[in-house]
Amino acid sequence: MSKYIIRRLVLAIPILFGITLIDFMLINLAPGDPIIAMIDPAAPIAPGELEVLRENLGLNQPFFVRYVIWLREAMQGNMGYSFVHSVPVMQRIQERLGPTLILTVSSLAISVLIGIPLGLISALKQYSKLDYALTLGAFAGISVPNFFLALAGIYVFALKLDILPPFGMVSLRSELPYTLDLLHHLLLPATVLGFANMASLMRFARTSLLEVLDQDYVTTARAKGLQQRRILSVHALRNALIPLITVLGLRLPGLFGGSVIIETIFNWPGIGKLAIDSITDRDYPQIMSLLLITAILVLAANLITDIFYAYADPRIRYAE
Amino acid sequence: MRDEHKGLGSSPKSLDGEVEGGRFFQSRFWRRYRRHRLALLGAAALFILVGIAVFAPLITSHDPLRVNMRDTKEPPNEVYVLGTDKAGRDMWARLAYASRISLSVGVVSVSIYIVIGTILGAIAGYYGGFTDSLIMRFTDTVMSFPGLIIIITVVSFVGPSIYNAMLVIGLLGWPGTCRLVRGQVLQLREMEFIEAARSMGTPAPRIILRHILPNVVPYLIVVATLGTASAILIEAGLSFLGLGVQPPTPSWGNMLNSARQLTLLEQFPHLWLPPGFMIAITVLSINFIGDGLRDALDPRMSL
Repeated sequence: MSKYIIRRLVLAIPILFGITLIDFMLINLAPGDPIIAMIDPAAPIAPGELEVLRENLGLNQPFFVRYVIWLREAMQGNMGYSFVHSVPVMQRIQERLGPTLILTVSSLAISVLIGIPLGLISALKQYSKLDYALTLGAFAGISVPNFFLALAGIYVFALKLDILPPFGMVSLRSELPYTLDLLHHLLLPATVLGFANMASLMRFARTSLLEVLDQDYVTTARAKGLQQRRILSVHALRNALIPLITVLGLRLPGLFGGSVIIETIFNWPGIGKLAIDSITDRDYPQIMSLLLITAILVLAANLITDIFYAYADPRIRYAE
Repeated sequence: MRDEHKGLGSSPKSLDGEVEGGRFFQSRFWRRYRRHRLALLGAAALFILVGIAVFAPLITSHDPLRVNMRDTKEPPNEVYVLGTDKAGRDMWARLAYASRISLSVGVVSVSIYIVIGTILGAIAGYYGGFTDSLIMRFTDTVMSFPGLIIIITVVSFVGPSIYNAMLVIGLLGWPGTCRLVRGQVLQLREMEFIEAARSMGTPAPRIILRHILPNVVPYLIVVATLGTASAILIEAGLSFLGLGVQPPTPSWGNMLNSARQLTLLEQFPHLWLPPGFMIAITVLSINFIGDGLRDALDPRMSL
């Protein structure tokens, strides 16, 4: 197993290099100038000043030189300074990481805790009205865009019923203690963000349990007269949940992407909003650091998923 | 839908050899598809949506781009069936014309990535060895790009427009297809009929095109259908963020975006409910169709 993990880690290195190179090319060779984005169009600026600014930021260097310098520094853990805010990019990411983690982890919890049980129930009552309704609901869940769901949620719960705040992470002045206030603000965005995952986990849980119930060992268990409850708890459920590890693992990185839109709508001070702001500002070092970190997250999530999978299912043996 | 049926009918290999030109409605494929009621419903809904897109000028009576500042934010009435937007433009006309955008973005971007994925996957799977590892490492790299974030970055940098959205979704979407095709080709390559073709001296490109790929077609159809649904969602998301179709050209995403202010949201639901429903219905019916196609083409397919 450890050999397998090492091999995967070694394989990840060229992939990461490839990703940084392609990202760097996309960002630097695309039209749009961070210097122009930086200056106030209303305030006149001397042409020489622009050149000085460009030189300070190292943007006068040829593309490949800039990439090598960036790579050299990044490998030493220095991700650079924000063009716009003149602070280390990692500092800004650290400030935003907390809110994003709160949002994504709770949305994941909502989708797992609601989606999987509903899927299992749906499988146990296959072809019932409930199964049909849940299946329909799951399809709707993966088809409704989360930004529309967000607008509808704000309309119903914040504007009409007035029981949840329409945006923000905490109130400026609140009678509630901090944690409760945070949860109050969290409920709507986390549910909206988790909705699509909830729907697809439900589908996968249903299919998975149905497949397991069709296996010979379940038939055997039934034939020797075991109670349905015992068949489920001992033989079926655990095996049915194993494939869900993969589904869940593959979805983790996507949550960060989804949170870009949700954080923008709900004005949530997280990584997603930082990404949108840095893209608008053409803040190259900030964007590069965000892209690199999300790429590492994707690769790590894939690897961890595969390892977990091997632990959960002893039949899986990775080639050494 | 009709085109898809025709396409299926003309490639008998993919469907147990039963389907032939005029006898589509007796085919095993159709019998299986018909049992899937939601898939039938989806096909009907998509048929209507395509109709709306194609005949948009005939079924609307107002210009979707004409600003009329005397009739802004009108609720639905006799003159404007679904009311008017902030600039007094007819909501129904904008919705109808926007369906052209969504459907074409879905079809074009998915066509791009199906072609790239199939070519690369077939080459990797058939030739194996160094070619295979080279292509698969490249696939892994593209697959590790952080989905929506990279799409947003690229589209914003190359300039937000419908064509760039199509291109970026297409150029970043192929790794899944590539892996699927490669896996299938790896299996098929070892089969006896391929060995027979090879021993008769059939050149490799011909073996791939004539003998291997037809057997992958059912998988591609399902992948393309489900892919179209998600491409439409991505385009709507981009337009919602202001990075896709640019106003005044209507798209469901940018219509939702322009109704985002809380006051508009609260007082004029007719500004944001219809475009949201249109996205949901379109994506939902395409997903239903994909599900039905999967069951009808090969129930054991696990996609």
